[in-house]
Amino acid sequence: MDLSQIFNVAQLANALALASLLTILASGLALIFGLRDVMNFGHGALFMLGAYLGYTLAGQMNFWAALVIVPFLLALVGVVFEYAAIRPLQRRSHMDVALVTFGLALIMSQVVIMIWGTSPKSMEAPPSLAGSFNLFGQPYPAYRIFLIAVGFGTCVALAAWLKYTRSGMHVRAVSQQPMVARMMGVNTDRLSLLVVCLGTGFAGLAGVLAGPYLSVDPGMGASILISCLIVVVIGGLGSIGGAIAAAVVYALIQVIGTVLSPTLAVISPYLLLFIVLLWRPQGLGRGRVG
Amino acid sequence: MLRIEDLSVAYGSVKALDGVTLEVSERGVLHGVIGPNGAGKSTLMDAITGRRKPTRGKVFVDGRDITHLNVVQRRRLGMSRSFQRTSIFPGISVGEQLELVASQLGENDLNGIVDTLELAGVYEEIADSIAYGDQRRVDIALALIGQPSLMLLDEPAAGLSTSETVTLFEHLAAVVRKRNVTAMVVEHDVDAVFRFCDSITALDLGRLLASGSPAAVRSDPRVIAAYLGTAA
Amino acid sequence: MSAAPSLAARAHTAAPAQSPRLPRLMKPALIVAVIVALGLFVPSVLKSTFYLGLLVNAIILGIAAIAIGFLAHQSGLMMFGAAAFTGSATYLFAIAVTRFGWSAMTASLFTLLAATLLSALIGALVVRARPLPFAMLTLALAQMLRSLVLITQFRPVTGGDDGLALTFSGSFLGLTQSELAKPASFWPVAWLALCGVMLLAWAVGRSRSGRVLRAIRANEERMRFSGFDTYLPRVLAFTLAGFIASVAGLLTGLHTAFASPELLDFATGGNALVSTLVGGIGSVSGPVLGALLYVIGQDQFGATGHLELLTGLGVVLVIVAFPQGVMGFIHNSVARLAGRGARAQGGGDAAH
Repeated sequence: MDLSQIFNVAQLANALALASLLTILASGLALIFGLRDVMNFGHGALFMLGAYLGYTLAGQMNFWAALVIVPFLLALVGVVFEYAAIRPLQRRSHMDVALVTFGLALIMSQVVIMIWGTSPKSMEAPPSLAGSFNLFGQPYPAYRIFLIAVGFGTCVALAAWLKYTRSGMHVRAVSQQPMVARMMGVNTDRLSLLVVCLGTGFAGLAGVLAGPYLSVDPGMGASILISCLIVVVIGGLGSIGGAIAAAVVYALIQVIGTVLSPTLAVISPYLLLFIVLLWRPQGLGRGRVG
Repeated sequence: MLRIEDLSVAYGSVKALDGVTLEVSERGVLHGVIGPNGAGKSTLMDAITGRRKPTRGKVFVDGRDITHLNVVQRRRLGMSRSFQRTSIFPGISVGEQLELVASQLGENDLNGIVDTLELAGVYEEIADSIAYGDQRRVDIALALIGQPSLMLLDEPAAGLSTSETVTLFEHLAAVVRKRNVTAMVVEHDVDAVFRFCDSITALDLGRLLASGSPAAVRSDPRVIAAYLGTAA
Repeated sequence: MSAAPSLAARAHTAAPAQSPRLPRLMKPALIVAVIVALGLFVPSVLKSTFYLGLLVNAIILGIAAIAIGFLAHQSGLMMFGAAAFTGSATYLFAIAVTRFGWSAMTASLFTLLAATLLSALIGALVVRARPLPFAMLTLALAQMLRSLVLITQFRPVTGGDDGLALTFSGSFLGLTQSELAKPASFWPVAWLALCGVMLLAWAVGRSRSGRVLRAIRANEERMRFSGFDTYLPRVLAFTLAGFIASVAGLLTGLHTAFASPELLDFATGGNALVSTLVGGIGSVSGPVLGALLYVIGQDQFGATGHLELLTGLGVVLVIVAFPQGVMGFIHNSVARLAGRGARAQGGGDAAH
């Protein structure tokens, strides 16, 4: 096998594209977990909802409209999520809340099938991004570069928000020391609403972006959920930087590993997940956002 | 019976327990451990029972070095403990949990334990639905099962009124005498300790201040300075 | 509250004498035996192949749900990814028949043994995790197996995304493949399997091992401080749950003669989990009731898509308001009517 087939720029870029989708998703998931200790098993379903909504809106209007509108729609879903599920179940065990999110995921994925049917949908990249770029001498789809840019741009923006704004600081404080932060007057409930909406909005953003890149089908929620969980856990819950690093590593393994040894590529993320979850003495420790 | 050598537990640079050496050589005695908050009393309990791994030092029971045994092994050897924050089995009746542990460790006088700790009235009740004082006694009962030779009780009277504390200590003294058990009791209620215990250890800041008879410890100037003096 | 008068007798029940209890159990045992025997005649009464088929599906789903419910009730661990255990059993059976060329009986034995062994190995690793990481790990396991099955290199063995259709000559317990495919003739196998699994789960739950497991679930640290090893019992519980789940998978293989990647889906495991929750974890019959409700719901609402909404709503309702599920609710209502008061018979919350 030709090494250049594996370690070429295109493959690396592919890995980065997948990684950027994952970082957007993982950041959202990590934020929600870091703040509320809620492991949102419905995150994949939200992603799928975003992708399908993006498909429809892009068809009716255009891609750019979808890119702006869908995250907002998903943020609205986040409002419902926060008020209907997270807040009432605050005092329940983590498992109970996780089960509820699991149930909600089931509802959402089946509603999607109900509305859009089971056959996969294909979505075209917008005309402005349909061409290819010249990447180090090789043609590479422009859309994927756009994807990478948006992905990492979002993470940078998120990191900046966490570090430099007041509410970002509050989020970090609450995730690390909820009691103290509350005593200091931080309104955890309002913050939680903000974070959950951010998280669901991000899931929607990732969904729209994924449309032209991956195929839009009913199984996409489940497969991305596991990847997302793996990335978040391995990256260290709540750590945005960790999530980025884990996402890149995961994507590299997937993209390059599939060529080398599909078995290994499939197994290694789960092995990593097993190792991380079993060797941490406290299991899933409290997320530290930052 | 119980000997500790240079037992130390450090969390980073904080020394919760610093080189404590003490010995309780007799059976059938009630040995009290006192000290102000943060003195390291619970850490001492945890280190002796195996809940925390000491950074230094050894624990000997009947001359045998048990420092490397885990908590299950220690319990089967006859070292039991009760907990400061009540640790019983929610959702299960008092009788069922006592009988379960009795079946594991071999106990032929469960009735005696139930009577001594006045648990007959709540025997059928679900453990987390009974009164706090009853729950504390269930916690202690669990530690009494199986004829332990060494019992470590971490603030058994926590949350109890003065009269309840006296009653509890009377029960403990009776148990200790009747079953020839060595009991080490961490306790905040200094009066109860001085009244009922046969010997006392005083800790402060992780270190041993004094150890001996109640009279000796009471009059030890270091103890007075660190602890009793402030209470006046 | 009256004092416990016969403490001596009670302390003695820690080691129950066998003879006084036997006559007491004989009457219920007789009733159960009659029910089991009567159940065999369902196909003679219910002539519709369609409804029989539904019931068979309910049984298979019910067995998977029993596995989940058993583990959840005894150990507090939720198998989100039960599909990993049911689906892998179906695949093991299919591979044994098509690739190894074994007879149905041999392949079945192999499936059960191999699945149980695998459960033990996985359990040894996974029971140490806290409930939430455990759930994630089982989910990840299911997804991993699904991806493995689809790898092109393994197509010769697993059949890839087309799945693996199997044909076996000869018979399984006297039934040929075509007979096994028909609900009416498959019924005895399914029914007896269900009864066997229910009996097994019930017996273990009532045994000392069951009490040990539930005490570990209530307070693991105190169990260790009371001289109990807390690791091995849970590995055994997990292994048993895996075995029961593999029975469901084997039945799928025998009845449908087809192993497909969909069996390892999120959703498949989710159906069984939902059945368990809705039916109620605190009893052995709860999950079966939940499975029956699910299958009926699928028939009634499947076409319109309302089933999924109901399913999700069911889960949310159960967690929020009815942690003991339908069966638990029935139990408590009956108990309250009988005046004994609703005392939690080891039921408690759905998952803690």
